[in-house]
Amino acid sequence: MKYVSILALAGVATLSSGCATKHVAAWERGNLAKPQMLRYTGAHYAGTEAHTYHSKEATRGGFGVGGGGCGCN
Amino acid sequence: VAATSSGKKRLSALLSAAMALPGVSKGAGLAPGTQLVAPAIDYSHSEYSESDGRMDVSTDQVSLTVPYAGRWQTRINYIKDHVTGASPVIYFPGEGGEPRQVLTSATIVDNREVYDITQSYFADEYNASVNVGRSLEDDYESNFVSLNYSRYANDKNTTFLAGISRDADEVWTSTTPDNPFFEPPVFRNRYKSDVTLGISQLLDANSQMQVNLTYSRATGFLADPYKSVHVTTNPPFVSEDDTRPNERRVITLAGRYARYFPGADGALHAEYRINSDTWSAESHTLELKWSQGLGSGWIIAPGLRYYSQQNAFFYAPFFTEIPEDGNLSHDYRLASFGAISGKLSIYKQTANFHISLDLESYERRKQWNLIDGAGFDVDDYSFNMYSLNVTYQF
Repeated sequence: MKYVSILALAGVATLSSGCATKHVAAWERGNLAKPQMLRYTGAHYAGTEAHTYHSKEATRGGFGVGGGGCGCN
Repeated sequence: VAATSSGKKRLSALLSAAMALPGVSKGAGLAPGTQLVAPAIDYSHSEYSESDGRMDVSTDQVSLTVPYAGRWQTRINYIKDHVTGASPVIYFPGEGGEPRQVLTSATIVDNREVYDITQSYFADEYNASVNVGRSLEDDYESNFVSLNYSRYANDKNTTFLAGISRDADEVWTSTTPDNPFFEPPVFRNRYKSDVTLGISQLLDANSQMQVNLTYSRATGFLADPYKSVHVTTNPPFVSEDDTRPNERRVITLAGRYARYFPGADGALHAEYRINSDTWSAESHTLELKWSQGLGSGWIIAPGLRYYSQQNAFFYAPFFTEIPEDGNLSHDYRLASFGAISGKLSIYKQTANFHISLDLESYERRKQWNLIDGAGFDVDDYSFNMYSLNVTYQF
């Protein structure tokens, strides 16, 4: 049941992402390209952070696949 | 002239980051998956330290990314971890029934090395990549492969992402032959497959969002071979091995939103993740970050993260009897708890260098969980981490 709820939520989120949007031409993307809009400014830090949380919490991932497992303590 | 050329390279890389929004790997921007116009070397050093003399981890990572022939790009990556410290090994009932924790008596020393290579192809309407690698520890080996595909639509206002990965791991116990209790290691296998579907959308000239749905299935030996579980009705000095179901299915929904505020020259980042799995260890993660431009290529970005999880159905610090299904674990990572992190990133960009310092202070508390569940104050701890990352673009 929880899986169904999550899938329904995913559907709503996906549909809503297509709504209320304004077409943005390539030459209008200067602000989107600013470094302030980067989720991570360090090239390796997304992986470092994900590995740390995965080692200490029961949950992993969400924004990408791959990377391999570990025998973390 | 050189400075102008470098500036163009940097701008091109950043525009690529913005236009190929979902990224191919975990991050965005200059992370793996971004198309570069010139080779780049990334080096990072990280230090992780837990409270009460528990685990310390020192990590070095170096990667080289080389674009060629206009559309192709190869990235080779190497990581080395050095781990020392102690970890909970068993719990006994203490006064009033509260669990009493016993840490490993000897200091754990472990090294982890990871080698991987990513080959990417960037077409006008899509990009695709394959990543293959191996991770080696004294008592663990992981071989992994992943495929990622991003399809652009609507003049790159929308990007659809699909990814699939497979890990084939081997786990064993590492003990020294001169130990009087030495037992030859038993090699056991575990496998994991992930499938991700995602969509990234420009909302307007200042904001964008991304939603990913991931299904993950792990099978095989999923327990911790070093942990022993105390059962109060067992004969004295007889403990049970950590035992877990040999299958785990997880579904994760994750969403990101980022908005730039021109008047403030800053951007708000919000991220939420909900996770449900067949071990009942559901979790919620919320993260907020404000990224403030300071001029001259400087950015400072404070952030806050909240995480909460439910306990796995077979978790307890100790047991009064062996459950019917035989599953029992006291792993503190499977307990119910909440955690709050304070974060700070400091970033400086010059003509050829990108330098980023990331700091995190993490505090775990049983009382901070969102839904009440099995968990104990004895497992509360904190860690501090910093990571210095230097990128040189040729």
